Amino acid sequence: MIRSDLPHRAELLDALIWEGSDDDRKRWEAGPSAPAGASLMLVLRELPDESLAAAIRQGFLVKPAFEELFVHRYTAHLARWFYRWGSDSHAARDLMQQLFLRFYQRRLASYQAGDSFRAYLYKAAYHLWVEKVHRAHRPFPLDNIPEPRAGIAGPVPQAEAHELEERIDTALRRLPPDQQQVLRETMAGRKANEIAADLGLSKRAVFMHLFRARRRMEQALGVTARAVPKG
Amino acid sequence: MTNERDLLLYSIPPEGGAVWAEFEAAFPGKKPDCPLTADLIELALGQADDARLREHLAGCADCRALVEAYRRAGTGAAEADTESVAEEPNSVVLTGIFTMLLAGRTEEALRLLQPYLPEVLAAVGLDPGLAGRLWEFLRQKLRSERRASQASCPEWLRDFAREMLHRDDLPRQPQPEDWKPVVARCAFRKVQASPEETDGVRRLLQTAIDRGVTNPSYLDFLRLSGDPAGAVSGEECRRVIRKVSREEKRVARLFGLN
Repeated sequence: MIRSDLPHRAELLDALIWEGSDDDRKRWEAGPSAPAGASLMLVLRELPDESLAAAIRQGFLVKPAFEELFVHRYTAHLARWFYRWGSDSHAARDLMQQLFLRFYQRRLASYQAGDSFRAYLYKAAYHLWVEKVHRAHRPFPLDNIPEPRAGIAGPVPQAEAHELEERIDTALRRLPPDQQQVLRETMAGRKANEIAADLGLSKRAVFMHLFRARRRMEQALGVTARAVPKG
Repeated sequence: MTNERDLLLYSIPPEGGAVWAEFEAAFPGKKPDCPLTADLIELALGQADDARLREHLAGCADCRALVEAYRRAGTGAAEADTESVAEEPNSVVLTGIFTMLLAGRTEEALRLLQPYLPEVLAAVGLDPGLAGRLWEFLRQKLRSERRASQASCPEWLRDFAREMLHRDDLPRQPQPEDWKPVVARCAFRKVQASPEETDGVRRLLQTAIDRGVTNPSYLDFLRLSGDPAGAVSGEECRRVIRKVSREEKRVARLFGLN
């Protein structure tokens, strides 16, 4: 497969996920043009989180979509989140494995197609952390905020947070207008269907803009999604 | 919904130098020929038994360790429903306040806590009328220390009693179970303060607070017993009960008592 084909193939697969029927998807999987193995992984890499999550819910390309979404795309994020919440590396690995296991077993049954997958995952991870680490030790959780690590003034110290905010704003201003608009709307707390209605786009297109915007932002901010490799 | 900007902020690698590097290094690497994680999970759960997979495992200590970890996680997984936790509507509050504290956004976190401060003060035997002073004290303290780790409620209260009231300690040291009526009162008061509620509903809630009611369903009994006579319909009362119950869960989560 030629790399220049990737956006086109990703677009087709995305449409199949959002607009195709189960039969359409089965026919596609059985067809001769369906990529497999490493080629398929390259195509999946071009799909928004929400499309991969929708595919998993549909039982379509579950294993490779799971690999791309959770292992490749979010292992590093999860590690950072758990770190910032104060977990040690052993606890973080345990929590991550529990999350992956639950999500795989349940095929994301509680994820609402159309919601931000990242926010959903963050919330699930946070609550697992609260249940397993935070609340397990003491009855009154406001007493439970972990001590900052030596040499770090807090999970996101204010000075660092301020600097990062500025970097985020700078990176945001450099996005292409359509991606910038979708990301700004999302940051303002609006849902994909509301943004889609306002901008006259499909929800699928909103997710694609959001995905590309996030990827550009992360590249600009040095957020390497694949830095921590294995779940 | 968790804020998109915060998610981005928290995904940036921490500037922790060696500490973060050590943390990150504890995650084993995945080699190009390693199987999909889903295959490892299925193997761990006994849902698959692929010869090629076993062959790979024989030569890959990382994957063997992962299968074993998933096996252990599978044993304990039945106890917890991670996804159901994720979809509970009130979870936004819990995530919100801890996210804010962890991010150093103490002002927002304190705003969320503010309505509950009078009840918290009463629970430790201090005058609820000191809520304003406590609020200002917390603002100053968290601003000057700039450390989310200082957001310990009993410690705040102790410091407040010592520094502002010149007491040796708190008059009362509540046990975890003592917080249940506090949570209920917080919920009643929060709904009572809502501008959309009628005077009748406010009076009904005040009656519940005065009588030390801890179960929102008891509101209907109070209504039928004619306390705030005829001012609240049955349908209205059921709506308020649901609202108080939701609020109660929210407060309980906030204090970690559920």
